[in-house]
Amino acid sequence: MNTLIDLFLHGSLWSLLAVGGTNVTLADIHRYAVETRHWITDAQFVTFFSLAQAAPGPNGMAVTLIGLQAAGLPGALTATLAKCAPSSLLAYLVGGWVDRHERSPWVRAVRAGLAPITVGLLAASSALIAREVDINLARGFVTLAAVIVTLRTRWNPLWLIAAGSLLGLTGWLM
Amino acid sequence: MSADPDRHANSTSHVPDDLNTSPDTMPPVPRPTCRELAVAFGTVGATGFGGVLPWARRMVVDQRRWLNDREFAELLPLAQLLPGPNVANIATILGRRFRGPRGAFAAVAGLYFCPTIVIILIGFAYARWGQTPLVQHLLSGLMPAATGLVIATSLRLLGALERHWSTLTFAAATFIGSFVLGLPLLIVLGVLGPCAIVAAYRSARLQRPAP
Repeated sequence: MNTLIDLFLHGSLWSLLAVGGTNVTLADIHRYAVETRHWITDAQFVTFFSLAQAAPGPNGMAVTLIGLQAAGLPGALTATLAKCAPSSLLAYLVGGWVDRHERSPWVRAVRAGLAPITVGLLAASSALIAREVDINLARGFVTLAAVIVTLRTRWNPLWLIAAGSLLGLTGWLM
Repeated sequence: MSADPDRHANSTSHVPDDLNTSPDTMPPVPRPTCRELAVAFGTVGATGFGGVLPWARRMVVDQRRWLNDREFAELLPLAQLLPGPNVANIATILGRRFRGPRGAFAAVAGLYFCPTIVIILIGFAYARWGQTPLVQHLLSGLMPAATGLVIATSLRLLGALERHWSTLTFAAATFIGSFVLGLPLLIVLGVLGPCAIVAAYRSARLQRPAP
Protein backbone atom coordinates (compact mmCIF):
# COMPACT_ATOMS: atom_id res chain seq x y z
CA MET A 1 0.00 0.00 0.00
CA ASN A 2 2.82 2.39 0.85
CA THR A 3 4.41 1.72 -2.52
CA LEU A 4 1.16 2.64 -4.25
CA ILE A 5 0.93 5.94 -2.37
CA ASP A 6 4.58 6.61 -3.12
CA LEU A 7 4.03 5.83 -6.81
CA PHE A 8 1.01 8.09 -6.92
CA LEU A 9 2.69 11.04 -5.20
CA HIS A 10 5.87 10.90 -7.24
CA GLY A 11 3.98 10.13 -10.45
CA SER A 12 1.84 13.22 -9.83
CA LEU A 13 4.94 15.31 -9.18
CA TRP A 14 6.49 14.17 -12.47
CA SER A 15 3.21 14.85 -14.23
CA LEU A 16 3.09 18.44 -13.00
CA LEU A 17 6.80 19.17 -13.49
CA ALA A 18 6.92 17.87 -17.07
CA VAL A 19 7.45 21.33 -18.56
CA GLY A 20 8.03 20.83 -22.28
CA GLY A 21 7.03 17.16 -22.39
CA THR A 22 7.39 14.10 -20.21
CA ASN A 23 10.96 13.28 -21.24
CA VAL A 24 12.28 16.19 -19.16
CA THR A 25 11.46 14.18 -16.01
CA LEU A 26 13.48 11.09 -16.99
CA ALA A 27 16.57 12.03 -15.00
CA ASP A 28 14.46 12.54 -11.88
CA ILE A 29 12.51 9.33 -12.46
CA HIS A 30 15.87 7.53 -12.66
CA ARG A 31 17.09 9.23 -9.49
CA TYR A 32 14.03 8.21 -7.51
CA ALA A 33 12.95 4.85 -8.98
CA VAL A 34 16.44 3.39 -9.44
CA GLU A 35 18.71 5.06 -6.91
CA THR A 36 16.39 5.91 -4.01
CA ARG A 37 13.66 3.25 -4.11
CA HIS A 38 15.39 0.44 -6.04
CA TRP A 39 12.11 -0.39 -7.74
CA ILE A 40 14.01 -1.11 -10.95
CA THR A 41 17.61 -1.56 -12.06
CA ASP A 42 19.58 0.70 -14.39
CA ALA A 43 19.13 -1.82 -17.19
CA GLN A 44 15.37 -2.00 -16.64
CA PHE A 45 15.13 1.79 -16.62
CA VAL A 46 16.63 2.22 -20.08
CA THR A 47 14.73 -0.81 -21.37
CA PHE A 48 11.39 0.56 -20.14
CA PHE A 49 12.16 3.98 -21.58
CA SER A 50 12.97 2.43 -24.98
CA LEU A 51 9.92 0.15 -25.01
CA ALA A 52 7.70 3.14 -24.22
CA GLN A 53 9.27 5.06 -27.13
CA ALA A 54 8.39 2.18 -29.45
CA ALA A 55 4.81 1.76 -28.17
CA PRO A 56 1.85 3.81 -29.45
CA GLY A 57 0.39 6.75 -27.58
CA PRO A 58 1.68 9.78 -25.68
CA ASN A 59 5.22 9.95 -24.34
CA GLY A 60 6.13 8.88 -20.85
CA MET A 61 4.35 5.54 -20.60
CA ALA A 62 7.56 4.17 -19.07
CA VAL A 63 6.15 5.10 -15.66
CA THR A 64 3.45 2.46 -16.19
CA LEU A 65 6.17 -0.17 -16.60
CA ILE A 66 7.97 1.11 -13.51
CA GLY A 67 4.71 0.87 -11.55
CA LEU A 68 4.19 -2.65 -12.88
CA GLN A 69 7.64 -3.66 -11.71
CA ALA A 70 7.28 -1.94 -8.33
CA ALA A 71 3.80 -3.16 -7.36
CA GLY A 72 2.27 -5.36 -10.06
CA LEU A 73 -0.90 -4.46 -11.93
CA PRO A 74 -2.21 -2.07 -9.19
CA GLY A 75 1.14 -0.31 -9.39
CA ALA A 76 0.91 0.01 -13.16
CA LEU A 77 -2.59 1.50 -12.98
CA THR A 78 -1.67 3.84 -10.12
CA ALA A 79 1.40 5.11 -11.96
CA THR A 80 -0.61 5.63 -15.16
CA LEU A 81 -3.32 7.58 -13.34
CA ALA A 82 -0.69 9.68 -11.57
CA LYS A 83 1.01 10.35 -14.90
CA CYS A 84 -2.10 11.61 -16.77
CA ALA A 85 -4.55 13.02 -14.24
CA PRO A 86 -2.64 15.90 -12.57
CA SER A 87 -1.30 17.55 -15.74
CA SER A 88 -4.66 17.17 -17.46
CA LEU A 89 -6.45 18.62 -14.44
CA LEU A 90 -4.06 21.57 -14.52
CA ALA A 91 -4.68 22.03 -18.25
CA TYR A 92 -8.40 21.91 -17.53
CA LEU A 93 -8.25 24.46 -14.73
CA VAL A 94 -5.78 27.02 -16.09
CA GLY A 95 -5.90 26.36 -19.86
CA GLY A 96 -8.67 28.86 -20.52
CA TRP A 97 -7.07 31.52 -18.36
CA VAL A 98 -3.61 31.11 -19.93
CA ASP A 99 -5.15 31.18 -23.39
CA ARG A 100 -6.89 34.50 -22.66
CA HIS A 101 -3.66 35.99 -21.30
CA GLU A 102 -1.39 34.53 -23.98
CA ARG A 103 -0.03 38.00 -24.77
CA SER A 104 0.52 39.19 -21.21
CA PRO A 105 4.17 39.90 -20.32
CA TRP A 106 4.20 37.32 -17.53
CA VAL A 107 2.83 34.46 -19.62
CA ARG A 108 5.43 35.35 -22.27
CA ALA A 109 8.11 35.43 -19.57
CA VAL A 110 7.07 31.99 -18.30
CA ARG A 111 7.28 30.63 -21.82
CA ALA A 112 10.64 32.27 -22.55
CA GLY A 113 12.07 31.46 -19.13
CA LEU A 114 11.14 27.80 -19.17
CA ALA A 115 12.51 27.18 -22.67
CA PRO A 116 16.21 26.91 -21.63
CA ILE A 117 15.23 24.86 -18.55
CA THR A 118 13.42 22.37 -20.78
CA VAL A 119 16.54 22.10 -22.94
CA GLY A 120 18.78 21.58 -19.90
CA LEU A 121 16.49 18.88 -18.48
CA LEU A 122 16.18 17.10 -21.83
CA ALA A 123 19.96 17.19 -22.22
CA ALA A 124 20.31 15.68 -18.74
CA SER A 125 17.84 12.91 -19.62
CA SER A 126 19.67 12.27 -22.89
CA ALA A 127 23.07 12.11 -21.20
CA LEU A 128 21.80 9.75 -18.52
CA ILE A 129 20.22 7.35 -20.99
CA ALA A 130 23.14 7.47 -23.42
CA ARG A 131 25.51 6.65 -20.55
CA GLU A 132 23.58 3.45 -19.80
CA VAL A 133 22.72 2.46 -23.37
CA ASP A 134 25.71 3.32 -25.53
CA ILE A 135 28.12 0.97 -23.83
CA ASN A 136 30.05 0.13 -27.00
CA LEU A 137 31.12 1.87 -30.19
CA ALA A 138 28.57 0.10 -32.39
CA ARG A 139 25.65 1.27 -30.23
CA GLY A 140 27.09 4.77 -30.23
CA PHE A 141 27.01 4.73 -34.03
CA VAL A 142 23.37 3.62 -34.05
CA THR A 143 22.48 6.49 -31.70
CA LEU A 144 24.44 8.96 -33.84
CA ALA A 145 22.74 7.70 -37.00
CA ALA A 146 19.33 8.04 -35.34
CA VAL A 147 20.13 11.63 -34.30
CA ILE A 148 21.26 12.60 -37.80
CA VAL A 149 18.30 10.96 -39.55
CA THR A 150 15.83 12.54 -37.12
CA LEU A 151 17.28 16.01 -37.62
CA ARG A 152 17.70 15.75 -41.40
CA THR A 153 14.54 13.92 -42.49
CA ARG A 154 10.87 13.86 -41.63
CA TRP A 155 10.67 10.08 -41.39
CA ASN A 156 8.40 8.59 -38.75
CA PRO A 157 10.65 7.75 -35.75
CA LEU A 158 9.10 4.29 -35.71
CA TRP A 159 11.16 3.38 -38.79
CA LEU A 160 14.33 4.22 -36.87
CA ILE A 161 13.20 2.09 -33.95
CA ALA A 162 12.44 -0.78 -36.36
CA ALA A 163 15.74 -0.39 -38.21
CA GLY A 164 17.66 -0.32 -34.92
CA SER A 165 15.88 -3.44 -33.68
CA LEU A 166 16.66 -5.33 -36.91
CA LEU A 167 20.29 -4.30 -36.67
CA GLY A 168 20.26 -5.58 -33.09
CA LEU A 169 19.17 -9.01 -34.29
CA THR A 170 22.47 -9.38 -36.13
CA GLY A 171 24.17 -9.50 -32.74
CA TRP A 172 26.72 -6.81 -33.59
CA LEU A 173 25.50 -4.49 -30.85
CA MET A 174 25.66 -6.80 -27.84
CA MET B 1 -2.27 42.08 -18.34
CA SER B 2 -3.02 42.78 -21.97
CA ALA B 3 -5.54 40.19 -23.03
CA ASP B 4 -6.40 40.25 -26.71
CA PRO B 5 -10.17 39.87 -26.86
CA ASP B 6 -10.33 39.63 -30.65
CA ARG B 7 -8.08 36.66 -30.87
CA HIS B 8 -9.10 34.75 -27.79
CA ALA B 9 -12.60 35.78 -26.91
CA ASN B 10 -14.10 32.57 -28.21
CA SER B 11 -11.38 30.20 -27.17
CA THR B 12 -13.16 28.88 -24.11
CA SER B 13 -16.67 29.29 -25.39
CA HIS B 14 -18.80 26.19 -25.54
CA VAL B 15 -20.66 27.44 -28.56
CA PRO B 16 -19.95 25.55 -31.77
CA ASP B 17 -20.17 28.76 -33.80
CA ASP B 18 -16.57 29.52 -32.94
CA LEU B 19 -15.63 26.84 -35.44
CA ASN B 20 -16.81 29.07 -38.22
CA THR B 21 -15.02 32.35 -37.58
CA SER B 22 -12.48 32.23 -40.37
CA PRO B 23 -13.13 32.33 -44.10
CA ASP B 24 -11.28 29.09 -44.81
CA THR B 25 -13.43 27.08 -42.42
CA MET B 26 -15.44 24.19 -43.77
CA PRO B 27 -19.22 24.23 -43.22
CA PRO B 28 -19.91 24.02 -39.47
CA VAL B 29 -19.88 20.55 -38.01
CA PRO B 30 -22.09 19.54 -35.10
CA ARG B 31 -20.47 19.79 -31.67
CA PRO B 32 -18.95 16.36 -30.90
CA THR B 33 -20.50 14.26 -28.16
CA CYS B 34 -18.49 12.77 -25.29
CA ARG B 35 -18.59 9.40 -27.01
CA GLU B 36 -17.24 10.91 -30.24
CA LEU B 37 -14.46 12.63 -28.31
CA ALA B 38 -13.50 9.39 -26.58
CA VAL B 39 -13.55 7.37 -29.82
CA ALA B 40 -11.64 10.00 -31.81
CA PHE B 41 -8.87 10.48 -29.25
CA GLY B 42 -8.90 6.73 -28.58
CA THR B 43 -8.08 6.16 -32.25
CA VAL B 44 -5.30 8.73 -32.05
CA GLY B 45 -3.84 7.00 -28.99
CA ALA B 46 -4.03 3.56 -30.55
CA THR B 47 -2.54 4.49 -33.92
CA GLY B 48 -0.15 7.24 -32.91
CA PHE B 49 3.20 5.55 -33.25
CA GLY B 50 6.31 7.68 -33.13
CA GLY B 51 4.83 10.98 -31.98
CA VAL B 52 1.10 11.36 -31.57
CA LEU B 53 0.78 15.02 -32.50
CA PRO B 54 0.65 14.61 -36.31
CA TRP B 55 -2.04 11.97 -35.90
CA ALA B 56 -4.02 14.25 -33.60
CA ARG B 57 -3.81 17.08 -36.14
CA ARG B 58 -4.99 14.78 -38.93
CA MET B 59 -7.95 13.59 -36.84
CA VAL B 60 -9.03 16.99 -35.48
CA VAL B 61 -8.48 19.02 -38.67
CA ASP B 62 -8.70 16.72 -41.70
CA GLN B 63 -11.05 13.96 -40.64
CA ARG B 64 -13.43 15.38 -38.04
CA ARG B 65 -13.09 19.06 -39.01
CA TRP B 66 -13.54 20.17 -35.43
CA LEU B 67 -10.95 22.89 -36.01
CA ASN B 68 -9.29 24.39 -39.05
CA ASP B 69 -5.53 24.48 -39.52
CA ARG B 70 -5.13 27.93 -38.02
CA GLU B 71 -7.21 27.10 -34.93
CA PHE B 72 -5.21 23.94 -34.36
CA ALA B 73 -1.93 25.84 -34.75
CA GLU B 74 -3.15 28.40 -32.19
CA LEU B 75 -3.79 25.60 -29.72
CA LEU B 76 -0.21 24.33 -29.89
CA PRO B 77 1.70 26.99 -27.92
CA LEU B 78 -0.71 26.59 -25.01
CA ALA B 79 -0.46 22.78 -25.13
CA GLN B 80 3.33 23.08 -25.15
CA LEU B 81 3.44 25.54 -22.26
CA LEU B 82 1.34 23.35 -19.96
CA PRO B 83 3.11 20.35 -18.40
CA GLY B 84 2.58 16.86 -19.78
CA PRO B 85 2.33 15.50 -23.33
CA ASN B 86 1.08 18.10 -25.83
CA VAL B 87 -1.52 15.72 -27.21
CA ALA B 88 -2.99 15.08 -23.75
CA ASN B 89 -3.31 18.83 -23.21
CA ILE B 90 -4.98 19.22 -26.60
CA ALA B 91 -7.43 16.45 -25.65
CA THR B 92 -8.18 18.22 -22.35
CA ILE B 93 -8.65 21.65 -23.88
CA LEU B 94 -10.81 20.47 -26.80
CA GLY B 95 -12.88 18.14 -24.61
CA ARG B 96 -13.51 21.03 -22.23
CA ARG B 97 -14.35 23.43 -25.04
CA PHE B 98 -16.90 21.09 -26.59
CA ARG B 99 -18.44 19.30 -23.61
CA GLY B 100 -17.07 20.72 -20.36
CA PRO B 101 -15.64 18.44 -17.64
CA ARG B 102 -17.21 15.28 -19.03
CA GLY B 103 -15.84 16.02 -22.48
CA ALA B 104 -12.33 16.60 -21.12
CA PHE B 105 -12.51 13.36 -19.15
CA ALA B 106 -13.81 11.41 -22.17
CA ALA B 107 -11.08 12.73 -24.47
CA VAL B 108 -8.20 12.09 -22.04
CA ALA B 109 -9.50 8.66 -20.97
CA GLY B 110 -9.97 7.72 -24.62
CA LEU B 111 -6.46 8.89 -25.47
CA TYR B 112 -4.79 6.80 -22.76
CA PHE B 113 -7.01 3.71 -22.94
CA CYS B 114 -5.22 1.68 -25.63
CA PRO B 115 -1.65 2.82 -24.88
CA THR B 116 -2.09 1.78 -21.23
CA ILE B 117 -3.27 -1.71 -22.17
CA VAL B 118 -0.54 -2.10 -24.80
CA ILE B 119 2.27 -1.00 -22.48
CA ILE B 120 1.05 -3.28 -19.67
CA LEU B 121 1.00 -6.23 -22.10
CA ILE B 122 4.51 -5.26 -23.20
CA GLY B 123 5.50 -5.21 -19.52
CA PHE B 124 4.17 -8.72 -18.95
CA ALA B 125 5.85 -9.95 -22.13
CA TYR B 126 9.13 -8.40 -21.01
CA ALA B 127 8.85 -10.03 -17.58
CA ARG B 128 8.37 -13.40 -19.27
CA TRP B 129 10.71 -13.25 -22.30
CA GLY B 130 12.90 -10.24 -21.54
CA GLN B 131 16.01 -12.27 -20.78
CA THR B 132 15.85 -14.52 -23.86
CA PRO B 133 18.66 -14.00 -26.41
CA LEU B 134 16.22 -12.92 -29.13
CA VAL B 135 14.72 -10.09 -27.04
CA GLN B 136 18.12 -9.07 -25.71
CA HIS B 137 19.41 -8.77 -29.28
CA LEU B 138 16.35 -6.81 -30.35
CA LEU B 139 16.77 -4.42 -27.41
CA SER B 140 20.47 -3.94 -28.13
CA GLY B 141 19.42 -2.12 -31.31
CA LEU B 142 16.12 -0.64 -30.17
CA MET B 143 17.65 1.14 -27.17
CA PRO B 144 20.37 3.10 -29.02
CA ALA B 145 17.82 4.19 -31.65
CA ALA B 146 15.36 5.36 -28.96
CA THR B 147 18.23 7.22 -27.27
CA GLY B 148 18.98 9.01 -30.54
CA LEU B 149 15.39 10.28 -30.71
CA VAL B 150 15.66 12.04 -27.34
CA ILE B 151 19.06 13.49 -28.17
CA ALA B 152 17.67 14.81 -31.46
CA THR B 153 14.77 16.48 -29.63
CA SER B 154 17.22 18.11 -27.22
CA LEU B 155 19.38 19.40 -30.08
CA ARG B 156 16.39 20.69 -32.01
CA LEU B 157 15.15 22.67 -28.98
CA LEU B 158 18.68 23.86 -28.25
CA GLY B 159 18.92 25.18 -31.80
CA ALA B 160 15.63 27.04 -31.36
CA LEU B 161 16.83 28.81 -28.17
CA GLU B 162 17.60 32.49 -28.20
CA ARG B 163 21.37 33.02 -28.52
CA HIS B 164 21.76 35.03 -25.36
CA TRP B 165 24.19 34.50 -22.53
CA SER B 166 21.50 34.32 -19.83
CA THR B 167 19.40 31.80 -21.78
CA LEU B 168 22.39 29.55 -22.37
CA THR B 169 23.49 29.94 -18.73
CA PHE B 170 20.10 28.72 -17.50
CA ALA B 171 20.21 25.73 -19.87
CA ALA B 172 23.73 24.84 -18.70
CA ALA B 173 22.88 25.35 -15.00
CA THR B 174 19.84 23.08 -15.36
CA PHE B 175 21.93 20.39 -17.02
CA ILE B 176 24.60 20.58 -14.32
CA GLY B 177 22.07 20.53 -11.49
CA SER B 178 20.12 17.65 -12.92
CA PHE B 179 22.80 15.42 -14.48
CA VAL B 180 26.13 16.28 -12.88
CA LEU B 181 24.91 16.99 -9.35
CA GLY B 182 21.89 14.66 -9.54
CA LEU B 183 19.62 17.12 -7.72
CA PRO B 184 15.87 16.40 -7.49
CA LEU B 185 13.81 17.93 -10.28
CA LEU B 186 11.63 19.78 -7.75
CA ILE B 187 14.68 21.63 -6.45
CA VAL B 188 16.19 22.35 -9.88
CA LEU B 189 12.87 23.68 -11.20
CA GLY B 190 11.96 25.42 -7.93
CA VAL B 191 15.21 27.40 -7.86
CA LEU B 192 16.07 27.95 -11.53
CA GLY B 193 12.48 28.23 -12.85
CA PRO B 194 11.51 31.47 -11.03
CA CYS B 195 14.97 32.98 -11.70
CA ALA B 196 14.69 32.23 -15.42
CA ILE B 197 11.16 33.59 -15.61
CA VAL B 198 12.09 36.83 -13.83
CA ALA B 199 15.17 37.18 -16.05
CA ALA B 200 13.03 36.70 -19.16
CA TYR B 201 10.51 39.24 -17.87
CA ARG B 202 13.17 41.84 -17.19
CA SER B 203 14.95 41.39 -20.49
CA ALA B 204 11.63 41.72 -22.35
CA ARG B 205 11.00 44.97 -20.42
CA LEU B 206 14.42 46.34 -21.34
CA GLN B 207 13.97 45.57 -25.01
CA ARG B 208 10.49 47.00 -25.28
CA PRO B 209 9.09 49.01 -22.32
CA ALA B 210 5.56 48.00 -21.47
CA PRO B 211 2.87 50.60 -22.23
